[in-house]
Amino acid sequence: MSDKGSLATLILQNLSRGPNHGYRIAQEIKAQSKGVLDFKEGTLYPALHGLEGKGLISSATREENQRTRRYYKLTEKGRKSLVREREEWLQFSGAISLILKEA
Amino acid sequence: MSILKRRRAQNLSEWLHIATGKLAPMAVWRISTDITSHYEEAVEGHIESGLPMCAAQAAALADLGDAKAAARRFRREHLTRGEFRSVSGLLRSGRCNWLGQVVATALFCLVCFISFLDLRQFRTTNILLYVVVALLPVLRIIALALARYESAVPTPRLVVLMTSVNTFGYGILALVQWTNLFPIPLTLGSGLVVFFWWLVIHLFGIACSLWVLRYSLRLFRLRNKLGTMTDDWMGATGTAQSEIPPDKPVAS
Repeated sequence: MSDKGSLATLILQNLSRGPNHGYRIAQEIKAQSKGVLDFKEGTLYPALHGLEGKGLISSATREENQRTRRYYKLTEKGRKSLVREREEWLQFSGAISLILKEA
Repeated sequence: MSILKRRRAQNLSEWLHIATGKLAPMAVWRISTDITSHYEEAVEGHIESGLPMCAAQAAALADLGDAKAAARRFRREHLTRGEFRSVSGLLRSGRCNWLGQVVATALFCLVCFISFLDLRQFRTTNILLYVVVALLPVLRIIALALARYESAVPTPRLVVLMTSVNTFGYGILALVQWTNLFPIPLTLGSGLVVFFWWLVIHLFGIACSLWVLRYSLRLFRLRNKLGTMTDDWMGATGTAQSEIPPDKPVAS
């Protein structure tokens, strides 16, 4: 799975817990990975826009604390894609782990 | 300091200027609002963690990453100004002078058909070409009809696809037709000048045909880019504001 693909899966996984906005998505991914996955915003937003273009997520703006925030939400298509991607990733990482354990 | 050394963006507006440099107006608006909102939250976050204002702004800017790399990524997801003009042009051409275009296409196909139609040397291998000639006006009419169907959201994508197929047909037709119209002068005894002009005309024709084919492929790639995100060419039509309620407490 490519870096781009894994970022998309991480975003979909984050949004599976509920709608979220870009800044918090980045913060949560960073916190959950204990600082290992620190995506630059210049990478995050193209990925978000790409997922929206594919119809995997949808977005809408909201005014909060005198600031316009864009919330992203998982669509049904995105949910199905996440299930598929998650299975693929677990299978892939399991296979790599088996090989590395042997070494 | 070397003049070839990459210059980094010094502030947010500079970063946005680089990252959205060649993009369509709506894409620029969309990215600017997203990134500005993100940047402001990042600055607040850094200030809360104890940094002074200037350092917080610098840290938030560094968090955005390389503007040129971001620009490349954004160009993959959003329409550039040129692509935006292409889509707008296709939609506009479908909405005005509709009948004129259909008649022009039909006439073009008729001329091609007549020039192909040589009953004395009718070859079954040309059947495919006849099919292409017959399909061109049909596809054009479908594309124009779709462009006129204003309410459907996926219309631009379909129009671009149909036009791409249509243009590809024109390219193939032009390529084959050019070879048919100007056969190679087998008797070089007719002179080098004749051969030279044959070569020039031939190369010109092939170059034009290849340009048309390249344009059709460009349109096909553009069609892939026109996903369900309609903001780039239709404005922020988006979903209603109340559609996505914040079900999590908002970070202050």
